[in-house]
Amino acid sequence: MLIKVSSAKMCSLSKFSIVLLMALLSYGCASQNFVSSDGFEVYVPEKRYLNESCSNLELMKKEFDSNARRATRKHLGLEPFKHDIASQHEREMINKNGRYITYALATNCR
Amino acid sequence: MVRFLILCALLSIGVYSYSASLISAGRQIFEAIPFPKAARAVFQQVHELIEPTKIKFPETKLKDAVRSSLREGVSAVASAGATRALANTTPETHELSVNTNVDNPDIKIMNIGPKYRDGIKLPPGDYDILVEKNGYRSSRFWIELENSKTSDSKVALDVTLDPLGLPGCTDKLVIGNHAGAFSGDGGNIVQYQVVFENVDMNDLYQSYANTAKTTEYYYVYDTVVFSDYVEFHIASPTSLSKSDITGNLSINVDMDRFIVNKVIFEQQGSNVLFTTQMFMPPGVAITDVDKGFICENVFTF
Repeated sequence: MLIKVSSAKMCSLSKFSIVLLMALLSYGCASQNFVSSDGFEVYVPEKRYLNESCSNLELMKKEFDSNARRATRKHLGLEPFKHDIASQHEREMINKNGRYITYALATNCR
Repeated sequence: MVRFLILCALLSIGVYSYSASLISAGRQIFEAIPFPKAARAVFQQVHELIEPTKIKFPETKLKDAVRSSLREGVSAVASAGATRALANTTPETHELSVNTNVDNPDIKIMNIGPKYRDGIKLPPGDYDILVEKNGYRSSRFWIELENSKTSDSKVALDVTLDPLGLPGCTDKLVIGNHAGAFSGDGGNIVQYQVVFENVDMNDLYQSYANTAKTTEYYYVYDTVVFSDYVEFHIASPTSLSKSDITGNLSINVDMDRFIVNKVIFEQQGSNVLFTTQMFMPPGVAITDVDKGFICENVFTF
């Protein structure tokens, strides 16, 4: 975000106004720069689940049933990342993780 | 009001002082704003997970994966290449020739001592072939020379090396972005995907791995390897400048915060779907995602 302020105008602003402007600029820059893509979904590849051994899938299922969120982070390799993930995307990942485990178990192991 | 303005001032000074260290990575700009120390213990743990050698390959798994995906075409050539049926004599040997589309390739047989030369005589067995050429994606695969009850049979392999990079990258690249660096629940997420056409996944991911091995600011903390699917789980610093990236400078992964890079290779018929996902801690932002920059600096494998 570019905001041009002439030097003459800047000089006429009080110090508090300058501070306020800086705060607004900060907020403006931050909000402008992070526009989400429409319809963006975090990709969870089904193929990975279809490759897993039945014993791994059964373990994954057990972990998922015990704590879906923690298990999903572990299964997707995000376990070391302790920060919040946007709830909308985390929900999607949890849903897909659970669905793909169930599907792979049903397809390959029964 | 005054209190509010003072608060604004503090916030502004805070933001701008860190903006000074804003990494103008050009298009992938990561801004690390100090985050109240949630995670030192966690990152100590992560640090233990991360090999100091930077990249850890499950050699056995990798080898098995490569073996199990031994390309049928090559295997067929190897079997059909027996051009001379001589008497049933021993010892049985095969004369191996590797033909490529490039001049002066570097050809190695990785699992035996003797150096490759055109027409090298080899007894029946499995051979790990590596064909390399500067500026091209290497090709590595296993062949099986069978007991053919003939001796001195000739085996010819045709190997095509593709140039490094991705032609038409900017047109093919699909980028998804979740904005969440400074507001909302959770940090920024960026994902980009592209399809490499008519390429073998093993060649592609090994080429990527070779690039990643030499990248000074990547730490691979886990891998998932199957014959048609590979994931790398990589930690990278939150403070990368453009020159850090283009100059491949040595940058330590922040002990308090890092970006998760998931890199996924997936064989889909004759094509490979390549996916990168970046999960960022709150306060770490990509201020611009430029396809040109990504194509030039990421798709070098």
